[in-house]
Amino acid sequence: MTEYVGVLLYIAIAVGLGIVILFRSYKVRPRRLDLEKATAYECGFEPFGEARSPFDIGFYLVAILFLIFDIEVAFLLPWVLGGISTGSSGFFAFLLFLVVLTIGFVFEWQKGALEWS
Amino acid sequence: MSSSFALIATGALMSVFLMMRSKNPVHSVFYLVLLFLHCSGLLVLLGLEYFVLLQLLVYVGALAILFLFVVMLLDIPSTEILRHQRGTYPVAGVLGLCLILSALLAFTQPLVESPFQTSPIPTTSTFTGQNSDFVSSSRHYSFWNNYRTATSTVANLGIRLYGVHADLLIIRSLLLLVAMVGAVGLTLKRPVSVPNQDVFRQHYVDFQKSLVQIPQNKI
Repeated sequence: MTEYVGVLLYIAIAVGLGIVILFRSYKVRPRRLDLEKATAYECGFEPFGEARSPFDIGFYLVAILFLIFDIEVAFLLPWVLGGISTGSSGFFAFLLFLVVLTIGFVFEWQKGALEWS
Repeated sequence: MSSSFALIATGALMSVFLMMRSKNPVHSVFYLVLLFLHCSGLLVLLGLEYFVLLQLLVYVGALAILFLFVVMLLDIPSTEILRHQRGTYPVAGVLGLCLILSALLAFTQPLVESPFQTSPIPTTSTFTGQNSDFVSSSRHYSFWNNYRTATSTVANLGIRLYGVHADLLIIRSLLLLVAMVGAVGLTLKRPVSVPNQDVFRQHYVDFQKSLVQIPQNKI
């Protein structure tokens, strides 16, 4: 467990830095809040509708395709860390894994899933 | 070990509580990301490095974005979500009661030979039991000690995955292919036949040929 002390230190420094920045900016900034400043402002009008508007479903498709390739990358990492010692057979399994996923990539490219019109 | 476990578990419980209580669904997704981070911390304590990586890569990196997209895709105002959340308290109460009961049972009946309590370092008691004379001599012990190499669990998984169970890897790639085809087939819109801008064609227009001088007598 001692090999993760660096990670712990990193997280502690990041959290501490974030706290310091937020706290200092909170303390240092001038606070002169009046009624006009606190109103919701949208080009001089009252807000017309919800700030949240529904997305196009194309974003979701891109996110799902990203998720699949993300999982693929997660499966490639054990090969780098230990699978190299399995030699050429492991390498060909690795290549076959990549080829099957490349077929899927070519499929979605040809179907136009990566196009944005 | 137990103090860090208590710290991370408390953080996970707090982030769950904030996730349930926050009024904005987008904030709930961010608290869910915090919960995933705490879960990865718990997995670090268990010594499961690869699952930590999967948790961070897949859940925090990709699934949180998907959840955010789901929240943004559904055109539900925040007030409506709040109104629906009120009915969930009895269900959450029953589940919480189950959790408290199981925790109490776990405290009152501690299992010594639990399958979940495995030490990350393998004990040498199994070797000493079978051939104790082999280990007791210090010369052989130092001999074996030279060959002791420490490999991380991810490296062991790599050897298993790519050396022994390579067929499972290929099946997994086929599964990912099916997922890809399914995602494309479910969500792809039909391409409409309107004149689109082709960026490559626009960039590879030869400027010398694009301007043509029309002769005077044609006009």
